[in-house]
Amino acid sequence: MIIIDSLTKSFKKTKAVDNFSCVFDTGIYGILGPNGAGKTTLIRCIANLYNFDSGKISFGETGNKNKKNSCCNIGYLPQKFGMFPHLTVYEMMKYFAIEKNLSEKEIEPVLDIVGLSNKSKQKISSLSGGMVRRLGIAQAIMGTPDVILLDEPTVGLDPEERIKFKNIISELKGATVILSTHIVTDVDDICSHVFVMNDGSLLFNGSSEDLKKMADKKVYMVSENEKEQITGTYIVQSRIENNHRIFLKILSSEKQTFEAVPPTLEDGYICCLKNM
Amino acid sequence: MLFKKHVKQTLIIANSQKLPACIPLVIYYILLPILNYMEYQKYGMGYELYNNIVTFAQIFIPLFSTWNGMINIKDYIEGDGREVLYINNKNPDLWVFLISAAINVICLLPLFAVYSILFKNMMLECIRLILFIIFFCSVAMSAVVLTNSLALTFSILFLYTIFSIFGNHINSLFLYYNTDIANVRIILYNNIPLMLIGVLFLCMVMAIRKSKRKYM
Repeated sequence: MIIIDSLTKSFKKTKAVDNFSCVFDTGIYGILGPNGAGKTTLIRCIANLYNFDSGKISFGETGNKNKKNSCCNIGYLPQKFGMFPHLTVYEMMKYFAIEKNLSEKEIEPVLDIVGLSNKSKQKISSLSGGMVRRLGIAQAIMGTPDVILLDEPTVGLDPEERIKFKNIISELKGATVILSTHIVTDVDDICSHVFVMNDGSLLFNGSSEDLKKMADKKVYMVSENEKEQITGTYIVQSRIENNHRIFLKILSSEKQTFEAVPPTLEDGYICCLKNM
Repeated sequence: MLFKKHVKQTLIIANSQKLPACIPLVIYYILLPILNYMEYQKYGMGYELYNNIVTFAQIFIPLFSTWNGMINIKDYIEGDGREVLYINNKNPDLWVFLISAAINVICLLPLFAVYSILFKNMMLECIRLILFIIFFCSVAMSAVVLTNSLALTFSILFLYTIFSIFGNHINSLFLYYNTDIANVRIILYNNIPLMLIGVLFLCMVMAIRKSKRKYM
């Protein structure tokens, strides 16, 4: 369990994380937010990589603030993972096994999980982007840490790699997994709990269903010809072509004459961000 | 335990460096002996050869003693996602750099063992050189932390070396290059203070880094 209490972290005059409080228990948590929302800063504060201005991060059920403890049992996948290109996959894993005081026996099982056991003698520079990402996950989950922090883990992955990644993450049991992303579908598929951040502040804290509900009766499918009939301000979420007719999926907080459609998590996220 | 862990990690990184890691060894065991041999051919065994050994050792060895450390910490400074290396670890880059520098000093010992057979005073020259190496490594690590750039750091060290050599006539504690025959007095009053200045500077820089953020 991680308890964050009134955490504030600034870079010069900009508050990257502003008075952030929340509790992470066992399970998979998604932190959603646009670029620059403060997700990476928050994750780095939890990983004890940044000194923060004020607030407290406590680990464990007792809520004891224990910085030493906090940095010993964390698996972390950074936004970009590409150091030591001249090492082989096995050497890189050995490096992290030494780092985490684990034996070399722990390497093979995690390479199996991420599907890289047949690449263990290959240099990292010769791996594809998706494989490097999976290697990053392997080092993060090696030694079954209590806390796993994944910063924008699916950025730059092709659909197949993303599915592989989601499968790996959804099978992690007994750990607190925190996944920061701006890709809503990642959160929708694997996270039980969602936080939405913007400008360093927490805008939403709840289940993905609750976030979807924020867009309840605010999503409409409108034919482009009927666009003039929309009242008030609205956001065009997507443009869909169907039978040579163009439809607009709009988000509007004002009641429209059109029939509302069931919202997706993305609709809820936009409603939350735009305060609709 | 912590030291053993850092040694193991440094060896993993160092073993994968291949050719670039051999550059200092090529300088120590090929270039320097060739230059010394040329002098020996000219003047034979005498003060000129002693001076030649000390001169070229002081020109090349301190600068290139930082080489392996710098290439080994490259990914700690410039690697994508390097923050993951700093999670469980305080100053892993510093450890890797210092262990690499220590290995470099060990590699130098056979060369100075041979020089000591030729000239008795070479052990003192070796001690003096090790003090210069500590100074250079401290300055190198400080510059890496302050500039976040290995290329810039090596340029700074290179310029400092050049300035020290050509500014030899200026009697300054801050310029390391000194081809006077080493003795205990020079070591105590010139070389050790210079080394301490370097170490103190490094300590200050690391303290600043710790107070600002915990990784490069």
